[in-house]
Amino acid sequence: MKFRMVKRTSPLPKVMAVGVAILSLGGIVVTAAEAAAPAQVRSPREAAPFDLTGYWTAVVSEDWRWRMVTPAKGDFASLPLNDEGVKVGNEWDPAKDAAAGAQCKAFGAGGIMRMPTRLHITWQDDLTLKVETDHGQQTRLFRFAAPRPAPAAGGGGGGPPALPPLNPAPVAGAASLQGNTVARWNVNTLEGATNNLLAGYLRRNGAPYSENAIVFEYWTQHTDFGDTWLTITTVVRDPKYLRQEMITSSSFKKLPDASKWTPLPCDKA
Amino acid sequence: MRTSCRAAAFGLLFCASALIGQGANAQEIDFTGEWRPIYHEDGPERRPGPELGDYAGIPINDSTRLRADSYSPERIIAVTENGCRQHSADYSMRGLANLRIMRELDPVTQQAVSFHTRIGFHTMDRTIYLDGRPHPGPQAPHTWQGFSTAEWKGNQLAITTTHLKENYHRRNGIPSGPNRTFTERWVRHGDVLTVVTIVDDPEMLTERFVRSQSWMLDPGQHVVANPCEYGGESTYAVGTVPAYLPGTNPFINEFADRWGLPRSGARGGAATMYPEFRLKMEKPATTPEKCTLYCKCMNDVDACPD
Repeated sequence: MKFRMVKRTSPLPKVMAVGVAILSLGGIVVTAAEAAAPAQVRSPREAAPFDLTGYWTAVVSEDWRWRMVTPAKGDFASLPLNDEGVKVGNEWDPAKDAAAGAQCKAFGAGGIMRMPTRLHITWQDDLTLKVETDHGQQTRLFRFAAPRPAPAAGGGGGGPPALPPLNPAPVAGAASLQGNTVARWNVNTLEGATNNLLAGYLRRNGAPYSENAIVFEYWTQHTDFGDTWLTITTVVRDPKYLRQEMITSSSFKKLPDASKWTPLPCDKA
Repeated sequence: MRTSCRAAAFGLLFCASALIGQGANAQEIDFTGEWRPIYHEDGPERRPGPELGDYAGIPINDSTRLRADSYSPERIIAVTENGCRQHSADYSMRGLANLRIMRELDPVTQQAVSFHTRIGFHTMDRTIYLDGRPHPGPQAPHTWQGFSTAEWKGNQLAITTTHLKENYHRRNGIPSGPNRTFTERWVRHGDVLTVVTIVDDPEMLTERFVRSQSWMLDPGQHVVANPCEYGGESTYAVGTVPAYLPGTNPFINEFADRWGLPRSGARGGAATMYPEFRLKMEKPATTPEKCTLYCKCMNDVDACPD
């Protein structure tokens, strides 16, 4: 007895198969097109994940007795100073600083974000973010590298590749209180690294950081309960005076306008 | 299986895997690990403890100030119920003990559905849900660690916590109310975790209260069990609650005078948080020329001797 296979002729499975295949192939085509298209090059200003511009006020809810007033000489509580740092700190002489025109040593890049100050942030150009303080009347420039095309998107999911640590190269030119800051965006964090510094103070009472210090910063912005906040985590690396990296975080709140802006020189601030 | 059905199944599988891959593109950061608190800010206040009368930089209202003035630290010994009281979720993130963070992953999507924190003091455990569940209703019980949910905002974890028990904004008598809520932002920079907390407590504060602190990843650390056992250590009669009547606390100005601070600054209030306060605060009653006490307290090497 012979049996013969009878093919079913219902069109539905064929239609489904074709439809799914088209959808799948469409996904492949789109992905390939994305990979092939030239990535748009945006300046750091255009690529900013959040708007830092405007006026900000420090909110001094921590370290109050070391930030709002000048603490007593030798008060180094919480600071990871080594023996040399403590020795140099105990030699602090504010009159000597004033005579030398060095009243602003506590307003250098290593300590300025702990000061009770306001910030005015603008874009000086597409590659440079300008940060001014009213107390101490300091200006910092965060310099971004010229933008390059972003690498093509890979398949298979996963977020952007992790960036290597930011490390500033030695800089020719005179050192300064604010040094030289290289900056970049890392997802929604502004990262900065500052070197080429003059020696300064971590606190108003002469707790020192040296000319070899590097200051790393991580700026993040968020909105909670209707207010816009800026948190700056500062890491000071200074093996000359610190037994380990000093890590603090300072909070700022967005102001609606410039009405609170009160420029004061260092010796009055 | 017929050829047409095989093709359909393959196509569906391809689409499904592509969708799962898209989910994994969300910017999830791994916060798991053992974290050691960094005491480079407010070290003496956070570890040995805050001094009586130190309300500086906290936006307390008048009734909260009065209540804080009535506080006696003897209360911890005398009132048995306070002996094992936990620090609430907002205060515990000041890093009063070491921290372990763990996470649970959805077995299919491999995305985080919750984080768990364990702080090594009085078994403070907290769950932070990322699965979109709502917070419980207003009649749900309040706990020391509250109820926390979170969502990713870029590389930040944004957490909201409700249903907290009454506790303290600072453990020198400044109370925090049972109807407060607080938000957190967790951000990781390499091996450093920065946690920002913002507390909304309209019963006790006139403004939102922000604080931030950082932790260092420490793989060699192990958060140990630290259960608390109630014990009778007090010589006070049962039912006694040590306190000071208004105007009778002899320690109110001790903090300001010891450190050479304006007394109005030590009394706290929202104005003390802003730069303009420096321009109008009065001269301190005393001005110590040199540090004589706790000068190197919490600098990671020296303790805080008397």
